[in-house]
Amino acid sequence: MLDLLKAHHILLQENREKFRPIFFLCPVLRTLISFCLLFLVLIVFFPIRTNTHSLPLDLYPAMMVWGNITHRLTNRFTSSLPLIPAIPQLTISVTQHTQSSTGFIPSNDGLGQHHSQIDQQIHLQSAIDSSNSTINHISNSKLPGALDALPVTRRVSIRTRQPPSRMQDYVTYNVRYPISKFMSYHRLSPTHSAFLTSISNVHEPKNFKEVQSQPVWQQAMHEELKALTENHTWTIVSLPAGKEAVGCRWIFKTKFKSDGTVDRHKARLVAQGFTQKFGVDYKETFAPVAKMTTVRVLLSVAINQGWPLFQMDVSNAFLHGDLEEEVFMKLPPGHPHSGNSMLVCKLHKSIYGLK
Amino acid sequence: MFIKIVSDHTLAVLIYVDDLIITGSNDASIAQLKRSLQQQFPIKDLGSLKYFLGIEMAASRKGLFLNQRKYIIDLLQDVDMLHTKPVANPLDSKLTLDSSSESLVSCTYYQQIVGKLIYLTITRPDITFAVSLVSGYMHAPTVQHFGMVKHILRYLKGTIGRGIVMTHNGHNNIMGYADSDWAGNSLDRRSTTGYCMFVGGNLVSWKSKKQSVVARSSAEAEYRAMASAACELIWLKQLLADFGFHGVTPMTLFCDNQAAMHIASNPVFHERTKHIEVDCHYILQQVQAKLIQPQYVCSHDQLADVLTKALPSTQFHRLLRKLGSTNPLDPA
Repeated sequence: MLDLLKAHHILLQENREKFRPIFFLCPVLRTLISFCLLFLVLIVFFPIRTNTHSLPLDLYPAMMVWGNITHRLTNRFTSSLPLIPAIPQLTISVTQHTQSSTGFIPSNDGLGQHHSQIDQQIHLQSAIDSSNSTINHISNSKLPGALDALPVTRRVSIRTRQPPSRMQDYVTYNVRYPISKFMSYHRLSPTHSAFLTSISNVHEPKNFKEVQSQPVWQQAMHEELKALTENHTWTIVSLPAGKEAVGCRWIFKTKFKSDGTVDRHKARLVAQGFTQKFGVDYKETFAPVAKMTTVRVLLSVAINQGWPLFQMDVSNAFLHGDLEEEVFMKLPPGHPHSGNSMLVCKLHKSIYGLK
Repeated sequence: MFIKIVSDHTLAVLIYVDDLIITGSNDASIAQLKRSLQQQFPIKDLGSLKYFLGIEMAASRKGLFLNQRKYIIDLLQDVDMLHTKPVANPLDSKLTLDSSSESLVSCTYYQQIVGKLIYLTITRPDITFAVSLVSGYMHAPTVQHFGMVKHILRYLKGTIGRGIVMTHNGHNNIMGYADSDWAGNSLDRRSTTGYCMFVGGNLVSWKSKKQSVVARSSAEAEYRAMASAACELIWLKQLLADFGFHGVTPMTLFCDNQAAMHIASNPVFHERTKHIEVDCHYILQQVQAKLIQPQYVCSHDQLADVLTKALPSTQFHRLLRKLGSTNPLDPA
């Protein structure tokens, strides 16, 4: 008797872990889980505390009850109080249910059917004899096995959801902490706030896929490829055996004039230099990068001295250093030959991202 | 950075890969430099300084304001926390580190976010301590550390417009504040160094870093902080000398620990300080050469406090105001 309860209890615990996220998707999965649930619903209406024999009409409250019941059952079990006589009957009715719905096929009227089943089983309870052999049989292997075989795949509806048409006139998505509560441009000059708005409105694409439908960026990439070819940055060869090609990707940047209008769209091809190996693909590295503190010191000095500050930008993306090492790079996406996986670029000049 | 000093004027060019800042005392020579650069390279004049390396710079009559508003918004959007509820502090002041917290599955994601936060410290001294704390666990982040990162992001949500302000004060003097907590990390009992430096009254340099060795006394911890602050001061002095500003010494270094100051200016090695001899000798030398002048400041006015510990809200914001970290985009 105790063994049986123990088995069930552990089983419940396991399933609680297993099914916790799924419970919140209840409408879809009710048939799959209903096995478990039904089992618990039956416990609920055993006269442990309540005397009501009415069943809940909705599955959801049944789930809410479920947690409490396991808890109560645990307490009862661990404190080894005399067990209520109804428990064997309970387990038998479960068996009945398992056998009746082994296929776990969702029925059209899943909810109603289950309730009718529960009703039937409750009526049957008095009729079914609580024979020990059945219980032992269940507690040995059958019930846990049946539960383990439960498919845990989520069935999520693929139907697109839309608010009802009468709601279209209203803003229904209510943000509790909108960003406007924490930021406003009212202290800034109109020109500067216009500048800020224009730089925030521009979306910079993150990868090649995003730009394929945007002619502005296509044009920018085309220009960059043209510039790289004219600069004799690479020649296209087939990859020699034993060599590895470095990957590359596009970076998209929007450059602004100081009045906030878009200066130009810039596409830059960068090599994925992190795949290079020291000693094989590169030997030493250097980049003219200023320390941020230096930048701030310069600004502070300029302001204290009343000096004007100007900004300039080197516009072409290639560097002027010649490569000493032999480096192969995969063809950039968007290149006319990029479909051919055998061809690679042999770099003559350095490009961004190389070490 | 390149600086050219001719008898009556100075010209400075700062290069960050392919972005340049040009400044100088003489308008004609700046224009000439721009022309010659344009002849040599395909280079574009973007006008006055407004948007450099993702830092937005707003100039006004009073001075210059730097912040990274767009960077923060993009970051919050990336982590889907744009509508999160904000908090008042970057770190919970009652936080205790828990060594038994479960380790995080997606290490890379944590590293990405913290990496972005580190870039954000360029204009945010207020989150520097919190970020240095979470970046110490890049190799093995736990659920608790991720919670701390989220807390920082929530703080950022409430303070999107915050940045540092640089005003015209008419001098180029250097002063620094050095502070440390003592054995603040409950797991390895190491102390944290914090310092901040002002050039011409504007905050230019700050740092929060866990010390590499365990300090046996608070004076020792403060002392190490003073030594690393002294290194920074000397570097700033040399940088200003490059600009042609020489008479900036002695530089004041504020410290809130009397014992540490006494060790710094008195050439007596006590029994308890013999193991920190190298630091002692370094700062002692600077003090004796009259390059650095240590000065006492009470803990209440110690500005570097924000870089060494999680402070309660009121004190945190009071010190930030003094540091020059303001939020002009605050709607209130």
